[in-house]
Amino acid sequence: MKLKLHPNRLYSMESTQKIFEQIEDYLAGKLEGNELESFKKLLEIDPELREEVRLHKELGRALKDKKALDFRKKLIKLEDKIDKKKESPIQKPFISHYWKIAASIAIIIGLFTFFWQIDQKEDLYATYYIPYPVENAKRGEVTHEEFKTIAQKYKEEEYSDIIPDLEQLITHRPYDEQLKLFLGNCYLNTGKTNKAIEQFLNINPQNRYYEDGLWYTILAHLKLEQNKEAILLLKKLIAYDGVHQENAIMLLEDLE
Amino acid sequence: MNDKTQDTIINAIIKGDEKTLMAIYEECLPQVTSYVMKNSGTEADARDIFQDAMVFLYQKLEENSLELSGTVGGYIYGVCKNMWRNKIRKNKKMVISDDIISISGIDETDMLEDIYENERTAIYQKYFLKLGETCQEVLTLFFSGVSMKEIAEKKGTTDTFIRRKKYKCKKQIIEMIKKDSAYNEIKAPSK
Repeated sequence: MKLKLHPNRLYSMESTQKIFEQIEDYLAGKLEGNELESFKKLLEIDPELREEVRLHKELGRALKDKKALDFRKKLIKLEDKIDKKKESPIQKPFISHYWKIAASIAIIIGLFTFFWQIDQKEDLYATYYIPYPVENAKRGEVTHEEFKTIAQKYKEEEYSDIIPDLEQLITHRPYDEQLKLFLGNCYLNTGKTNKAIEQFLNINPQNRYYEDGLWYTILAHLKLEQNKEAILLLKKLIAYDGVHQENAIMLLEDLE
Repeated sequence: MNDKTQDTIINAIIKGDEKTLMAIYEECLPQVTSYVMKNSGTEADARDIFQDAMVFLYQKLEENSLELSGTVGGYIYGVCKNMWRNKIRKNKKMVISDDIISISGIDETDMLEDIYENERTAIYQKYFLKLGETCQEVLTLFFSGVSMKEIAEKKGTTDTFIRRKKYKCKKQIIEMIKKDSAYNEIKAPSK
């Protein structure tokens, strides 16, 4: 498996799956012969590759320490409890996002046969779908006060709660195309997939969030098992040649 | 907390006893917050540092590699102080006050090397916990040495899907890490 060469660099740091797996094989001592020698030579001459390998190595070490991770999760849960105590003297039901993660992981790891009782098509959706990041709002137009509370709840995956607020906000701020991405994602996560598609398709093609909207429309079609529609749009997205192109190519390969 | 012996507290920390941990937060966090805020930090910074210090302490206790001659609270203050000073030194902000006296009784220069290494680990762990449940599960299994084939079999899916999922999850966390200014400040030089 050869590394991809870039005309201006000896080693291209595009984060493709093959590159990641080659780094992992190197770290696991699985590379042999010529492949190992080539990789070592590249490491000697490319500082960016060395940095990438170091990051992968450290990440593996950090995440192997399950006890420390579980302890940190416990602290996060505790901090949520402290925050909630401060907010209101009345005991509220404990609905910390991180508690949900800790409890869910405990159940999944304990049972070990849970979660993936879904067919191939939903696997694809599960494989490719990541909620539109709320961090992107900092770089967009949506930075006003009204959105801050919504953003927090979006981050905590309380999608049903914020749908009415987002719908209202869009009515007042119809030019905020990024809001449609957030609302569409809320619809996606609450079983309102067709409404999600409406939002994503409503984004102005001249707007910078149009490509994101196209990507999420594709994922929505995938969720509805509308593969033909998804494939058509994937080809359009690939031709768009934007940030989602790599993912679109991979997904199209999976579908075809 | 005053009623408990040092050993009882240490054992409770190792076990993750919620009452003990809560008591430590309630007793120690306010002073750490005060120190951090007097030295160019925010309440959120103090909370982050405190969490990192608690994990740092936990790891030391778990490994039985800590010889504590002072109190647990004093040790935590010392770790927080050093972590914060380390952080703001990199940001070239001045330390205005230094009113936390270390009563841990240990040489803090020994601590610094461990803290430095711990900083990156803390960043990785924090972003890992921001990933979705699926990603956390896949990466946990991968890093604990379970093969892609085994994970796929257990989940009733294909090796290809799991490899793809693992890649996407890893890419997601790495992208988050690389965007973190704190990570970029503490990146070690490449060998």
